[in-house]
Amino acid sequence: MLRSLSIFRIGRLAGLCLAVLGVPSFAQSEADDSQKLRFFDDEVLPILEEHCLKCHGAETKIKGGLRLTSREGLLRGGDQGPAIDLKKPEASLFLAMISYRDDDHQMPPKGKLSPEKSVVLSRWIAMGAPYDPRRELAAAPDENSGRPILAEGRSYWAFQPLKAPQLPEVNEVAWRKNPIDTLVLGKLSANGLSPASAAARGTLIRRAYYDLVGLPPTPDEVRAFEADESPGAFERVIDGLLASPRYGETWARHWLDLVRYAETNGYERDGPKPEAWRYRDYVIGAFNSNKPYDQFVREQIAGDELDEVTFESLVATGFQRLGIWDDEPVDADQAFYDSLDDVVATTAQTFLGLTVNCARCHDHKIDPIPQADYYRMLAFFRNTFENIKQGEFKKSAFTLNTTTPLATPAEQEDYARRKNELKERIEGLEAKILPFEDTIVATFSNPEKDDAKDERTRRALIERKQEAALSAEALAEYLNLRRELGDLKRVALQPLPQGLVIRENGAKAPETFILIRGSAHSPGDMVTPGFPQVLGFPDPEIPAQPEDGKSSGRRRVLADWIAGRQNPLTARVMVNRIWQHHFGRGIVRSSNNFGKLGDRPTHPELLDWLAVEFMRTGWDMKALHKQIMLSKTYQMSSQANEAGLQKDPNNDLFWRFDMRRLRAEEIRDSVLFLTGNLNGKMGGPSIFTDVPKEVLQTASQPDRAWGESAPEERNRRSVYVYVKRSLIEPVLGTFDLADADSPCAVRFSTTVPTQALTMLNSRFFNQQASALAVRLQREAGASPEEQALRAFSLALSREPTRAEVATAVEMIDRLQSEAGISAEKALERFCLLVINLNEFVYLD
Amino acid sequence: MKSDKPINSFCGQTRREFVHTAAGGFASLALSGLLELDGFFVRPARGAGVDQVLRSPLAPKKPHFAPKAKRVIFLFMYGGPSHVDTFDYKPKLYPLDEKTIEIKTFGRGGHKSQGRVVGPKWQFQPYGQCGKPVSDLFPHLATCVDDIAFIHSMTADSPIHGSAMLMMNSGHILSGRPSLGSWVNYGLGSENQNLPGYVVMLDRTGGPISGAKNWTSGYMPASYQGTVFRPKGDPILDLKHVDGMAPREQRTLLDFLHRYNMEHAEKRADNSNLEARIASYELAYKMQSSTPEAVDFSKESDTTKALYGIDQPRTADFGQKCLLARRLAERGVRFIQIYSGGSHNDANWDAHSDIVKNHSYHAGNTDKPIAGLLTDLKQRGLLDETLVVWGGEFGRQPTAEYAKGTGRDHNAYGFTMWMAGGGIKGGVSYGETDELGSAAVTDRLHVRNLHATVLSLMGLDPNHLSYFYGGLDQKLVGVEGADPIRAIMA
Repeated sequence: MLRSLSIFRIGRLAGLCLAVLGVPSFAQSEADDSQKLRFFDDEVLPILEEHCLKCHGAETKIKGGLRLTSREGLLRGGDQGPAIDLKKPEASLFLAMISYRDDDHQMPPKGKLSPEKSVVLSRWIAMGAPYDPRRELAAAPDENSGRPILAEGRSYWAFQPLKAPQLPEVNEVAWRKNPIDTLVLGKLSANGLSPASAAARGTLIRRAYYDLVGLPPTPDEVRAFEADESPGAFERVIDGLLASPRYGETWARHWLDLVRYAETNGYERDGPKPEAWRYRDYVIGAFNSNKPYDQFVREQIAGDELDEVTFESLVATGFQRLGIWDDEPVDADQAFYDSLDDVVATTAQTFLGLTVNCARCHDHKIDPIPQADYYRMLAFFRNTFENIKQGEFKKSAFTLNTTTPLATPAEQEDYARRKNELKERIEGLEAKILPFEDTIVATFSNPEKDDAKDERTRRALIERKQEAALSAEALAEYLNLRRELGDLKRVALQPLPQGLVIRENGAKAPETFILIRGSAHSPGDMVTPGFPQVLGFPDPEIPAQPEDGKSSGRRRVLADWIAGRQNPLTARVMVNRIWQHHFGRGIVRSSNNFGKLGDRPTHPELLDWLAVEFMRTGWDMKALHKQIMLSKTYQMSSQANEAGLQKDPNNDLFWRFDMRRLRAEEIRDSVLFLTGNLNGKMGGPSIFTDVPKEVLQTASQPDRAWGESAPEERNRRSVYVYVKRSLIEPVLGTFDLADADSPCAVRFSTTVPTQALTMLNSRFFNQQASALAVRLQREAGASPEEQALRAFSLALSREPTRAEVATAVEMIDRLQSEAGISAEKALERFCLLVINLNEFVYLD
Repeated sequence: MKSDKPINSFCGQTRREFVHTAAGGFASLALSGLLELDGFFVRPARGAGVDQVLRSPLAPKKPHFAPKAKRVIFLFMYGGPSHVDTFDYKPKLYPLDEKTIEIKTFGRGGHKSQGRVVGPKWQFQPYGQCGKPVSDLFPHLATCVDDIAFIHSMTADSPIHGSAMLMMNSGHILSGRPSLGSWVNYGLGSENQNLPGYVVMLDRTGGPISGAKNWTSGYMPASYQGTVFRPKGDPILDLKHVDGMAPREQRTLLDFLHRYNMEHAEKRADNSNLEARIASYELAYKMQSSTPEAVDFSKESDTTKALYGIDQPRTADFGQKCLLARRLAERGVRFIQIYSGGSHNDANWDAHSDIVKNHSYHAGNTDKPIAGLLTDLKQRGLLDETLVVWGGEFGRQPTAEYAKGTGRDHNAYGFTMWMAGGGIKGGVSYGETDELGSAAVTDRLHVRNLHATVLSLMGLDPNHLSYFYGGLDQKLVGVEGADPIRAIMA
């Protein structure tokens, strides 16, 4: 006993020395149990209490899953494994942590323990971590039962196989034709509500135009539709709109929000993503050509692994390269997984409506998605992002910006040949120039020769000395050769088109490990590609790839599974999105989250009916639009009635059509359309609008923050405006553009005074007001009545009332008489008023 | 519809409502709530269950507990000031000047295990009752040390500007998160509806790297994002008409707009968004007069202006911003951030080649204005309720970056920030770096602790202030949470 006590004392005094020498000797000593416990109580527990138990002993939430309030807690350990190793105490994780040896594993986080305290804890571990049972605090009963229960999760509605629902009986004949109506009306009737009356034809055609092409109808189109009372009139309008290229431009924008489309990487340099616009054009084309949705899915996930790989399908894979990317990562290994996480999160939310990303660090707290499922999904993409080693980012061939030529082998060969020819000619000229320059350089002084090691300085020196060094004749010949070389170097070979695509590193994918707490530095168990277990699919077989194959074939398997008819989520998620952009909200309002934290469908049968129908028609998106728009439900008025407001103020049951504010792009495009300035040119590299100096000045390099496009280019549709992560186009940004750093399923629609300032005071809106005034004068002459009439017809798709015209005339008069401005200016102000009207920016 | 979701509450909303708002499920986040304050509406909004729709995102909200500070002024020393040359006195570093020593560093130049020491280039003198040593870079600010709590043991996740800026402003090295000012406005709303609740003033040379990402509201509605304010010219974008519209003319236009919009809204009385939009034009109209009034210094005395150094060419620019910050603070702006330094390299505190030239310049531009701000706030009784934060995205290494010169590379292992005012103990220093200033060793703190402190002082519980996005209850301090720095809180 005395002997042991003395060891304690020496241990405390001798500090670090004994940490090495003393531990084994103590471990071999024969201290009895009560001795050990007293050591624990007197020496160890105070340290634990002071430095550890706040996070690892709390009654409710414990950090890292590690509980240090019992010996069992130490043995069981936390997310990183057992804290102590009884067989090899010196190798215990606990000791590694407090030693601060490794940058990523240091405890306590506030600072390294004093050497004295470290010795005490080392001794304690060495003796097998005795714990005074009277001081133990057991784990809370539910602490370890929070794991998602897969079996229970399987009964969740979104994971049920799809089947066509039974249609209810409804009385109204007109509502029996379209199952959408039957299902909506059935529910309304059950709740004692009746649907709103049909919208006026002018309202309906305006609604249809905005929904499908993002622009208003012209007054002539409105008149023609109002006059056409034949049965198929509205259907013909829909067909015409679906056939318009403007349709793809409008619906592509919804999709681009989901896939966090941007054309720069973010961070310090916010560098451009080369050729990203081709992906935007791919999406526009996919909607316009009515590409079957399952094909659309397959191409984006695995366009390079399909049976038939096309340039189009390659460009589609650019979807995986659109995310944020730090070209100077603080931790390259972690950054590699951040990039994969971006793809996993976007893929799961966009195609499956699942927030699998919540399981990156631990099992999903609410949804039945264990952490392993996250890494099983990540394994499909594991071969796509090559790691950048620390500090080598500048030299690395890997960037998110990898492009590939979109050209046939023959075209590529031809290009290489021409490039080579040019190179040879340049080299030939350079060889001729060399002797002249040698002569000039020979006249350099020694310090000049030193300076000339820098090419730019060498060039400057040569230019300064050439006249003195060469004869007039030689100089002339030399300058001629230089000119020729310059001309040749300026010859721009028409470069091959390039695509921003995903590429794998060969046929064999590296192994994938579960990362404990999401840390790239803490690999856990190995996993292989697999689907979320709750959905109950067998683990996939990845077909063997030829050894020299370009890719692992994994994404193809994932794509086929997502686009497969057995998948209960894919069709539900997509029909919900299409519904959302017609009705302003999805049947499931949280359209990227079909999990337990998302909203329940207001009409589950309707959702299923649409999904089944969607697949039945071969994933035909245009057919789905048409089916929806031909329903009475879609054609209802937005007018409220007392019963509806009382019983269902949020319109969960669709007793009327919800009004909505135009989106940012619709506002800008409509204003340009109204004035006749909208340039309908499609596709190609993005354009730069006229951005005020004040906005450019917010960038770290104001002069290089934005580009310049020709005036008519600036007036193209908003979907073509350059998307730069660190500089948001101000007109669009004012009206709740999606943040491009993460997927955006539902845009906000805020109402703030700065929007009013933009619409009243900014250059863009005032320029357009002037342009509208010019148009009115041209088309309606000098009469204020006629001008007002025309303005309302153009902007609101309806004829104004007499009173409205009279008000307009009164305003134009008063501006002249009271504010003393000219008739032209007064008309411009009236035009500004028109584009500021609530009726212009809100759809009925 | 029955919800089988866990019973839980988020900012007084049920989970369902929260998810809903977060997903933008409502047609609009309307302004009506704040206009109720102004007695703007005569007609009550229709329909039950639409309370959330009627609340303005910026309407004042109750804090979680009694706040110590009503507003924040964050003086952002962009580029990373050197702590060993400013407030973290390291006497042992001077004699090591030019000596190569074993030392673990991580900066732009990567991980290194040895380096050439650059001795501190300024002398330190003790100041105030607390005797805090401050370097000769800050002769004016040094007189305020008894009101300041210095935090010497700051650490951050990244010593690289791109990710470090995002870390300091939004708590995470990955882009896309809302910034601190957005969280504060989301949690508390704004006291003054005629001015933005979150104002950012940038350096003359340009914004910091990543521009608008530094004051973004990320996945939250844009109503919470920072508004860039300019002390000269048009203070906010589009506040004035592009080619001048006489007030009379504009009033006529607005009156007619109101007439048309009211008629339109009459048939759609249940849609509060329309009323909100009508109201937003009146608010915009008010902003046009209240904003210039806020930036108008004509009623400020020469003594006050001199206090901020506005009478000196060197300090006039930053001084104006500091004075404007005080005026905005008085007018209820909740979060004000001022950048010292912009653009790249030596246009900010990023002293890679010559620390003397760089820091003399930036400290010289800001020392007097910041001291003036603290003094002025104090003499007006505002300091007690205004939290002032000073610091950059990281500090600098005790060793040189290059073979020659006095430049220092970035250092996120240990650096200094300070706070003063609302709820802060004055004259204290907390935490320590090692004796060379290379890393925090005692009471190490993370940026999250700093953020937690700001939120706590504003009356918000950092571990409960959350926003549902991407399937998670997102928090500024992350899923792990963080404690405020209680030792410096009064």
